[in-house]
Amino acid sequence: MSRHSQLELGETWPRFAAHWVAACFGHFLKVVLPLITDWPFPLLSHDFPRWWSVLAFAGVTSLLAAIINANLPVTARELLKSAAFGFALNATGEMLRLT
Amino acid sequence: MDLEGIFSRPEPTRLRAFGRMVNIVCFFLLLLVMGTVVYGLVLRAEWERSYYLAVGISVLGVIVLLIGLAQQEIAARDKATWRAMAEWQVRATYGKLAARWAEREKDGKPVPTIDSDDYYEQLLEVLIEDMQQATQSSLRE
Repeated sequence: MSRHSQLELGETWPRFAAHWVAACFGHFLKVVLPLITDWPFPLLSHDFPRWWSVLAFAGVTSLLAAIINANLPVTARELLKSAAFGFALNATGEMLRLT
Repeated sequence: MDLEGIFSRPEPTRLRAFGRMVNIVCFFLLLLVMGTVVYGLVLRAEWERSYYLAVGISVLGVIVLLIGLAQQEIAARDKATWRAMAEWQVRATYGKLAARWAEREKDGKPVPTIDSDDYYEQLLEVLIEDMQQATQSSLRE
């Protein structure tokens, strides 16, 4: 019975888009957390990345998260998982010195 | 007849209440993540003006995600309303059927069980009668 069809698995474009946005947020969280933990002395160095380069990198890596999570429903729980995925992808990229 | 048994409604358990609580906590965690990102970008924007554009894009992302979540919630509620209406109709039909069978029992005729051949035939008959009545009354209006 499709009583909770909005909770069932299955790939759709809106789901893909929602999880992509959530993964981008997770990616950016890894980038801006140092700014908040260093308050009141935010990173002043010039090697702080340009926002469009971060956005491009986040957008590309988040595609992987979105492809994998595209079958998850759009609920706060699942979006949080996507955000964690984006965070992890950014950490991986940093460790591999891709940024 | 067990009318409530027709519809399989999950029992409210402690585990389900816990799941609901986790859902709410996750929602606030998601808000916290998005708020932290926007706040961090604003902090950076004070030192590098071009980051204000990033703040704008992130706010847009927050709005998109919140609208998506709200839209799912509304769709689920709509569906629950339709389901409640259909359940109400089926329940009324079963009530009528039970009354009809009680009369038949008084006359000494056997009452069909779910395994007998004409059980679903009679159930559909009552449903169709209901529908015809509804159509006629709406035509009269």
